[in-house]
Amino acid sequence: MNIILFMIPLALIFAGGFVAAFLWASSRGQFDDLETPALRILIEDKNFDLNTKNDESNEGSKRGVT
Amino acid sequence: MDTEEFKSFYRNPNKESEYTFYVEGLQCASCIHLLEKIPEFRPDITTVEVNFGLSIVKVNVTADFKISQFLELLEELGYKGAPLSENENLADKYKAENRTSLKRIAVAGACTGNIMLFVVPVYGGLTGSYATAFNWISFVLFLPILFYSAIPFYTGAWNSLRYRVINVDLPIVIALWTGFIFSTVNLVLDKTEIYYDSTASFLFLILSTRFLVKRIQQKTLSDSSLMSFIPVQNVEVKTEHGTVSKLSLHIKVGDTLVIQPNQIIPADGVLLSVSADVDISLLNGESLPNTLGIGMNVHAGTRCLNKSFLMKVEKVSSDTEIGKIVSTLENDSLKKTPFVTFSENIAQWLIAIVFSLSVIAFFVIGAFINYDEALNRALALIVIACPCALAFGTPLTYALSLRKARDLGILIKNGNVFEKVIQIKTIFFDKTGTLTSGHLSIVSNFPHTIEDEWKAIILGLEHRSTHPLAFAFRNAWSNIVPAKITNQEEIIGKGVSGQFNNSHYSVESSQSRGESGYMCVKLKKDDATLAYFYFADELHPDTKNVIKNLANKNYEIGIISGDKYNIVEKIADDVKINKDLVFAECTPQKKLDIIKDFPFVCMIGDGANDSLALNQAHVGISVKGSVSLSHNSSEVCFTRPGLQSLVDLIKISRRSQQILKTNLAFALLYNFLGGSLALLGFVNPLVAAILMPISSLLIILNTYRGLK
Repeated sequence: MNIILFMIPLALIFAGGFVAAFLWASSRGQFDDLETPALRILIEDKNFDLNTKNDESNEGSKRGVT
Repeated sequence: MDTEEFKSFYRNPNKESEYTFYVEGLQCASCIHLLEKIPEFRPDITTVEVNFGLSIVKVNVTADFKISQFLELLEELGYKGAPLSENENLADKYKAENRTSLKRIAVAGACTGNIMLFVVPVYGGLTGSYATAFNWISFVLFLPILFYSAIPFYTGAWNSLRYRVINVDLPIVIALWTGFIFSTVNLVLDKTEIYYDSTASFLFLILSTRFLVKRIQQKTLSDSSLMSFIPVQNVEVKTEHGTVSKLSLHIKVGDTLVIQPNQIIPADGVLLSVSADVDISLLNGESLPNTLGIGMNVHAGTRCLNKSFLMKVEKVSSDTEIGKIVSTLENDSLKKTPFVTFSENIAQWLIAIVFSLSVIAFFVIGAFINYDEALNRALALIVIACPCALAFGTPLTYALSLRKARDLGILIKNGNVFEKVIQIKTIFFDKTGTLTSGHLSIVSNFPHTIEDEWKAIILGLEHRSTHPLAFAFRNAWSNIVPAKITNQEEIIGKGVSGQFNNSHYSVESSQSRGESGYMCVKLKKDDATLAYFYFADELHPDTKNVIKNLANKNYEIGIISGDKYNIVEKIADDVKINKDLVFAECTPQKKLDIIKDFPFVCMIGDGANDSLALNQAHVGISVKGSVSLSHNSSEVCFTRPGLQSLVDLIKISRRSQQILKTNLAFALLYNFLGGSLALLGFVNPLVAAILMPISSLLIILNTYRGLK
């Protein structure tokens, strides 16, 4: 049972570490906007043909608006 | 729009090169992509950051950035943008607050989870020094919850004591501290009644649901604060050295302003030009434009229609007519008594009952058994009977209902609106822009068929005009090509005229207006009249259905309008509204007085002239296209055109009240049973640890099921 004297402080330190990590991330603005990043992942980041895509998404949004 | 003055008004206060814009029309991932790609082809913009949830775009720029160019670019891409000043930028305002709430929840969640881990072996039968050690660890883990996560409840409870209004924070704080002290005393005395786990999980759940409600409300607020009544704009001021451009905030009495077509007039004053056409529908709901002559009063908040004019400023900001409405509004909302909801009432009763019960129980049990046991049972009663349903069942129901309403295009500022909606007996509509679309259309003409050539001539004559009638002609005959007119002339207040095929044609207003509630114009060729056209402000397509639907549900329905009596009466006839409740030619103050006479009245309107009435009404609703004054004075905003949202709102309100009541009934029953068990001495920490989460879970499930 002596192992428990080691395991419990370790578990608590782990827990504390994760809480600290969360607090740090939160004060750096990690959770300010939860919706945009979820959509941003759908965007291709390289070799993107700007002009053609622009027109498409532009029309798409116009259709949506009217 | 690109003067240094204007830019500094919208510049983010703590970052020189940053501006925030509200962007309408964001739909999906490709919109984000498109906007964030802008820096690649625009050298004056360094970064663009989209916040999709709040429809806000943050732009970092170089020194030669022009706001107007950026807005044009947005328009080209298919969006509508508006710069946000420091006060309008709610996202940044709430940022710090949201981050702190999230941290408190995180700490509470982590501590609760770990307390549960350490309490399981104790429930499993662990005794002796290990059990004591585990309980002490629970004690330590409970401290951050007590002294960090629970801080908002202390402020709430303190306010409730200070203002002598009982709110739900007070019982939460009492339960929290009773649970803590009770458990700690028992821990020190080496007894088994320790409630750290149930108390902690209870607090964690409340914190989380409150955060959820707050997020949804913030989103709603940031949407509804979009349109400004008198937008901050650049105004041309005429001086001895020519015209200079000034920010509308800095106009002074005595300035001479050059007002451009389509501009919202920024101050009260007198007209210096010979005549002007002004759209005053925002101010008093009149659907037809006013023609003003030299020396007449021009009011802030109205819109210049087709020709630029000069005016001399006499009153600015809070001295203007509209400014007076704003200040009355502010005073009125302070005077308004707070609405006490059903669940707040229950909360007061419950607190009173639980506390008197526990005091009685303490003495009775003390007298019959012993005071040690009596204290145990009385405290267990307080911990168990803490109002779960009130503490997070109610906010959760509100949050889900608000979100559902939001999806249907109804923005609601406060959860207790649902309860008020249920009580409504009378509904008053404003006419222009609410029952009607606010646009004129041709209802009939004489002779019955109009030759295409005449149509072409009229369109040609009205080609450049921004008068509402011109739009009505264009909408009606969109397939006709306008004729080429020479010597075209627009005479303000009279009409337009020009030459075509060597004849002189004109479109003029006709005096027969007013007899039938229609506006009439005639087409003249030289001196002969060719045709008459009658116009009316058309009803929204779903208005009739909605009114019928509401009448079937036994609501009293009426109209309060600033427009002329015969026009209002005509509309009332069309939608079958009882004449007793039709009021026309009302000033904002008159509207307010009418609303005061009816209990539980709902007012729906859009103009600044409705704002006093909206604020006074039991439920005030502003509709799409409203000005910010009515937005700010109403609790509900419809973002979709038409009135179908009103029916939806009533439906959602009924549903949410039903769920609220089942939750309450269930929680009361549960508290009653738990309380009885506690008094009889059957409650130990294990029972509490099982009972409390189950009741919470059932309430959450019931709420979700009900609002699916």
